[in-house]
Amino acid sequence: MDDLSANLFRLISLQDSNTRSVLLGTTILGIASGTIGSFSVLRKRALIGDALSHAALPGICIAFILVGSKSTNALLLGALLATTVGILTISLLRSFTRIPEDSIIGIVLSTFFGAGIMLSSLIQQQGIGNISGIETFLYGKTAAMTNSDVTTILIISSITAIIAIMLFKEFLLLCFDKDFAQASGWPTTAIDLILMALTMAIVVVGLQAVGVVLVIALLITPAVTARLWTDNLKTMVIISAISGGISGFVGTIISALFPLIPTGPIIVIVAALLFSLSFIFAPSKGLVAKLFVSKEMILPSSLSNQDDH
Amino acid sequence: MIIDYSDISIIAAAVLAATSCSVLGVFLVLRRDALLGDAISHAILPGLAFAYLATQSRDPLPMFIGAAIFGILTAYLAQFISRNCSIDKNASLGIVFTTLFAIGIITIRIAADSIDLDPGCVLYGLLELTPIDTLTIYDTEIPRAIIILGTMLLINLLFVILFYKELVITSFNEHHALAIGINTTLVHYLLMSAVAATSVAAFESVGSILVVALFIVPAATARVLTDRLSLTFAIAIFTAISSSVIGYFIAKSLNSSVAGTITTVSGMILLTAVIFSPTYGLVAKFYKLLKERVRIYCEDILGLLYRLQKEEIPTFSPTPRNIKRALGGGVYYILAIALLRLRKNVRINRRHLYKLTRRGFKEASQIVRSHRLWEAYLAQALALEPDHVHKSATTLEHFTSDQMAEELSAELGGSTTDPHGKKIP
Repeated sequence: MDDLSANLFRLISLQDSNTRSVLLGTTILGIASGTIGSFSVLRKRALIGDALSHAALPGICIAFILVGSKSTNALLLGALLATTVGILTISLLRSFTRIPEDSIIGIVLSTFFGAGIMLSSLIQQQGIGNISGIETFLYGKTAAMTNSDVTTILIISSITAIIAIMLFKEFLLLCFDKDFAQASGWPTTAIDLILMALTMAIVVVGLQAVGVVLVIALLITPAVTARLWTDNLKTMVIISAISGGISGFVGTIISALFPLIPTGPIIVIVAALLFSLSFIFAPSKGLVAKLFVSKEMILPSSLSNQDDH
Repeated sequence: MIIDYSDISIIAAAVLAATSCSVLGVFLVLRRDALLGDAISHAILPGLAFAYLATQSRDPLPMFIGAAIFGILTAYLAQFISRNCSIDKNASLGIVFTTLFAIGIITIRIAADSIDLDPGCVLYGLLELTPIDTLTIYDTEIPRAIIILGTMLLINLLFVILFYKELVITSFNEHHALAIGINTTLVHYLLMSAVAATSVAAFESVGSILVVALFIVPAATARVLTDRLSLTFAIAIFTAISSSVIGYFIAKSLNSSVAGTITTVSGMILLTAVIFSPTYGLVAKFYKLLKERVRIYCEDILGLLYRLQKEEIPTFSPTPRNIKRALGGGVYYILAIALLRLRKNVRINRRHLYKLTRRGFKEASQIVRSHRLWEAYLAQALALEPDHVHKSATTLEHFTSDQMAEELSAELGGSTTDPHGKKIP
């Protein structure tokens, strides 16, 4: 047990050089995804990240076939191109067909991913190469992140978060009253596309950290947690970023202490714990607070009923 | 290509899975619950892991029960959270299924020594192994996947037939359903249970990604092609079955993953429907728009030539170049002129000028008549200034039937000139 606490201290004080860069990467990723996630949750686009993360797979496979090696940057570029095609498909289906939005997300998610599985099975049986490079994108490889991976995460996350903060007013208008924004002459379509592009950037860098399924948890869970604490968008973005950062940091520390626990999933679980605590205890919106409120509401009405008799 | 027993059993399993999923998918797409299939097929992972830990075997029954519990739990928790959090149901769904999936992966990783369960096979499925994994019933060997999926299809069909009215009414108008005394919550959870059970039954053989695709893609294809619910079912089932069959043979010839290929084929079928659907397709929409634009352009040419011929504007000679300059060139000009000459409304004289034929003159006078009637009417009825009515009349003249023109004329009480003093033809 002393061993454990000594280890814990070493990790938190950033003395362990292996964990230090990974910690930095996951924390920054958590902060950035918390920031972007607030907007996409309020825009009711929570699961668009799900479609985009799955849409990356065929791009990764094609990049793999073309480049042949396991060059991470080539694979990232492939992922980026495929998710761009995914975004375009979503926008086109939304404007030109009458398929509901959630179905469109499901369609892009499943068909792109299906095409990716088809391609990766072809890669495997053609013997073009070992597809373990592709597999890391499916389940994440946080513990094995190299310094250059962390640098990529740092750069893209920071740029994304800065753009989101610069466009705060535009995003606010878009999330709360798109029609008003459009009527006042804001280029809402362009703003919407920028928000989707930022989501895409987070998804693509998040893929290698936590994998295709769990990356959307980073976008959604901290944002909904923050929503429970406040009605003010600025406060919500700050709380969401903090809660995302904490999830990344604490999750990475836990998995460094217990090597059996994979990093991506434990980050998601920490985020979910923060959410559950808020869900129960948040002032005015938590379950406990609601319990008291509803009791207060019942009492006067039952009294007034007695008065009637 | 020789089709043998193993081909037939794999196709049969795929077709059974496709039909079971697409029947429920029609309602999921209608109810905006399309992503539940996706969420449930991921969220059942801890159920499978716990069942494996408890029984130390791959015995299907405990695994089915474990998965079904977590599937229904997902639907329930998502509903509970979104009701208490003032966020939309997809966001709460996202929280629930990612958390459960993470719990599943951690459980599998920690107990890796005792669980022989690959998260990858949950995604891709093992459709290729259908003919090998068999059960013996009355001395006949039947692939297990076919028995499970066949039972599931029967249950789903029975469910949809028994609750058809309730499902339809709650999907289209929940408030109306409540008002006429349908227990909408019960219907919702019954549907969710059916979705959960189908995901669990299908994922092992076809993989969760194909389950997600089969829930949504065929139903969306039908939605693009028709408005009728009965046809929606027929088209969804037909699309699902043809994706399975075509996908299987492509996969066999390429030697690629069957589940991945079927999903890709279903996507291609949807894409074809989106482009070529006779009512809502892109081509149909584009053609309709083009036809309208060309009609308006034709009418503008006729009106222009009429005014030139009738009112002698000496500075303007109707050469192709001048017309293009006045009305805008491009594709619409080419198509409109071609159409007018085909209909013998316009001819080109020896000096390369456009002239109206007798038939064209008649058509053109109708249009100019509409234009001037509208100008007169707008000036009279709405008391607009004469110099304000031209623009509105230019739009309205293209959408005026003969009967409407007569009524306008009657409203004007026999007035024969427009506000600019020009004669109404």
